[in-house]
Amino acid sequence: MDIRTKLEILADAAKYDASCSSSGSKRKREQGGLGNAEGPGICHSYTPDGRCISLLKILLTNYCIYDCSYCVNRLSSGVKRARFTPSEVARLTMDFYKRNYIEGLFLSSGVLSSPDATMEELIEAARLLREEHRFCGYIHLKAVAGASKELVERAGLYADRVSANIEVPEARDLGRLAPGKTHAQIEATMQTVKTALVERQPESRALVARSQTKRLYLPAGQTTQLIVGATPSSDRSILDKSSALYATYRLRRVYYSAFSPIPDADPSLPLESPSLVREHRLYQADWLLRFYGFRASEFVTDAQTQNLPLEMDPKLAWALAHRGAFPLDVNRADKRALLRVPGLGVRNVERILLARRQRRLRLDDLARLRVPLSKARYFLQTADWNPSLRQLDTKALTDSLVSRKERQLSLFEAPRLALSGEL
Amino acid sequence: MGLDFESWRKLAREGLSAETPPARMAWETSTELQLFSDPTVLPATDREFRCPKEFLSLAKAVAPHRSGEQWPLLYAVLWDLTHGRPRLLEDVADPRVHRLGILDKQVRRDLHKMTAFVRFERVGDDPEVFAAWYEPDHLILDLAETFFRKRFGSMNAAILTPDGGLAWTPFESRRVPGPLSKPSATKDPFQDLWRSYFASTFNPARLKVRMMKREMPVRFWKNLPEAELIPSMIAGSSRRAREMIEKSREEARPTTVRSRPKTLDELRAGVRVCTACDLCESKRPGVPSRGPARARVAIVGEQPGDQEDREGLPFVGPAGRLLMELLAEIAAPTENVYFTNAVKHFRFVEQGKMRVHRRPEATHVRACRMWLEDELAMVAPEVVVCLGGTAIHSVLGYALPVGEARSRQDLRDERGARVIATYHPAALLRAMPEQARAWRADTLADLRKAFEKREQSKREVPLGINL
Repeated sequence: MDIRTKLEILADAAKYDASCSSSGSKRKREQGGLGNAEGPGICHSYTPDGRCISLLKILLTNYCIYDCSYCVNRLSSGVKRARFTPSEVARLTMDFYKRNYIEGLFLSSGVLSSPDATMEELIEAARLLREEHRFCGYIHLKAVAGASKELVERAGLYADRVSANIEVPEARDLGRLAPGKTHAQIEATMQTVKTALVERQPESRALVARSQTKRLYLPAGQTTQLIVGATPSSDRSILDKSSALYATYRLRRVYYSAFSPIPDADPSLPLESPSLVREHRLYQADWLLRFYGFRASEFVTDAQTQNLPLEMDPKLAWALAHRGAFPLDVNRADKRALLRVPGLGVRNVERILLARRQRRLRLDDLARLRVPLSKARYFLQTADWNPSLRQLDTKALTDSLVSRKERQLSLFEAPRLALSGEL
Repeated sequence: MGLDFESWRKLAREGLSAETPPARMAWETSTELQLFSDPTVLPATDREFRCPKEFLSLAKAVAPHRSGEQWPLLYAVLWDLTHGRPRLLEDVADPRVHRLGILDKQVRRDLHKMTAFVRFERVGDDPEVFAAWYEPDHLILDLAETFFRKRFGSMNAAILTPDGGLAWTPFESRRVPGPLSKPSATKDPFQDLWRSYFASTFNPARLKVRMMKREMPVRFWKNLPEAELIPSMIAGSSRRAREMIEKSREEARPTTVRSRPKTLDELRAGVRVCTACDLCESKRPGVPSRGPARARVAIVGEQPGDQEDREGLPFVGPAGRLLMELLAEIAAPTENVYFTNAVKHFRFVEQGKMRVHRRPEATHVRACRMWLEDELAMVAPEVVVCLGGTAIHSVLGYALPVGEARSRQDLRDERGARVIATYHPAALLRAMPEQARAWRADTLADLRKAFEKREQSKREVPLGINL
């Protein structure tokens, strides 16, 4: 089988993994080496699904001994199979990188004969890149659940980031959909990574500081992914799981991937993908957890379904349910309080704090700071008169915030648009 | 050519020394330094002006902006900074500071897009030489050089733009003076591989064209090798996603309505005319089981092969003959064995005159499972032998690799009968000689297990099964 056919099969097989970012690393080019990794990473291209191409995202192989029903590569699926050798992966990565197509490699794999054997091949591809090709760009390796502690630790010597996917939010659903995998096993792998990070990263950082090496240990830490909509789990239980994972394993990110209909699907799964809007709301809530001081228990969810509202973002929903906390005086309120104003992002709050030392801020100042006033003006007291505040305690506020366009959409076009995600 | 940072700085110093207010400075283009509206003002003095460090870095950051709009704005801000408002820059809501912020952002965004969208082509082989053509919005070649040499400093490469270019080797770099025009395209074979990747990594079930265009504006597409695929990918996507959903919907359809067979003969007749999945499209009858209506051991294969399909009987082809040979070797009472397959129709592709076996898909296994469940319930074997992965999948209801299933002593089917997994004889036929010998020994051992009368067999029945 030629490289091109393998690439087509194994890129197609890897595309359901949502995480693609090449962010959060720091790696300088070594003498005679190629590439570097820093800051937020670069999106080199975009496909029409709106997702960026930052890394060469492929599987080493899509042969797999597991039969996880949500996965296109499961044992019982009829997809075409292929297998790269570690050196083919390394060469392809180099050739793409030299043309500035990518930031690096995201390498995952079906499980070949055992988790350890698979993990060893993944590590070998990364080792070849670092040692033979002197590649200094970004490498993300999948930590195969159930692989031995030594191997998972060794992956960190070559990779910028590793990830073990938690797959679904609730342990009992995993047992049902993925015989052979358990949360206990996956979380044990996360724990191994965390321990390795705690033990080895400070030391490698010290070596880098003394210029004895340019290689940090696993500089971009670990992440995970869970699939939304393949199981009946509510947004509430998903966010509970995420905050527990963040608290326990020092994760950089939890990725949420809306379940996507796959060819040759298992009949126990839903036929259509859940709305991409739901996925988007979960990401918004996740952001609030990490950067805005929200706790999972604070989100406003539907009493029955325990899901976040689709027609407005979670922060707006919270603010509407806690109108007593508003209006806030933009010239006096503290940072924590400002972060909870709909429309104010972390950057904007910082700029407000800076600018208000100079003078008392008025509505048009906020407009220049690019604060989306259409949302924020109902919640903020400014130095000048803000007529919108009169609406804060009226029923009509929700109507004016959830725009007529969106409400009509939700009535007539929601199914189609929810599927395409373009609101 | 407009100003650059150094020439602006010189003018600004002179302006400040002469106490020329911003409104009286003239910046319109032109070449030389006599830009003052009042030519009688004395040129540069040695006076020193102090301004915050942040101002200098802002000035350098906006300098590449192609509009020229930054120069008077910078002078106006500098004027205020040195005339009583030293903290002006902190006032991000000030209209001029704000505007400079926007220009700064535009330049940074342009640089970021350049780092993302430059595409090198290999133009020389030994040693490798790479070149790229790129059209930035602003004059960012200096800034880009830092990025590209940091990352690709060990390559021999050049980036050409309409304003000029830069070229470097691992040892040195130099500028190519502009203006330049687009060189004719070369043909780098990796562009095709890259396009294949681009197309394969796209998920047609989610289409967000607006998002794509916001991040990768259409004006950049002309220099991106992958962009030529985008229109057809969009056009094809809704069809592909629909097909995928339709296909799984069809697969998930309730299997053909049939009355549940009451006898084995009824069941065999039903199998012959089954239309529960697409394999019936071959218009060949299904291949039913053979063996007695009651048996202690049932052997389940994958699917009928070419010969089985012609003769309408299971296990009569090469693999079947090998199975009989193995059973004879352990002296198994084959007349008391029930032989059947997980999938009743032959799945194949035609290659010339040959009909070549293709492994059945999960949907076929699922569709056929009703037959297997019913026949095993009627025959009520104590032991079910599964030959290969498909049989294991069907009998257990979930897939398990053969190797793992072989090592498990506790496998039971839905009724609680003992399940013994082993290799399919066809695998032995296809394997390399050494492997085949090992598998043959394993298979014999597994088959022996199935036929040995076990005294304690009753005690091994798991709890919850009525004895």
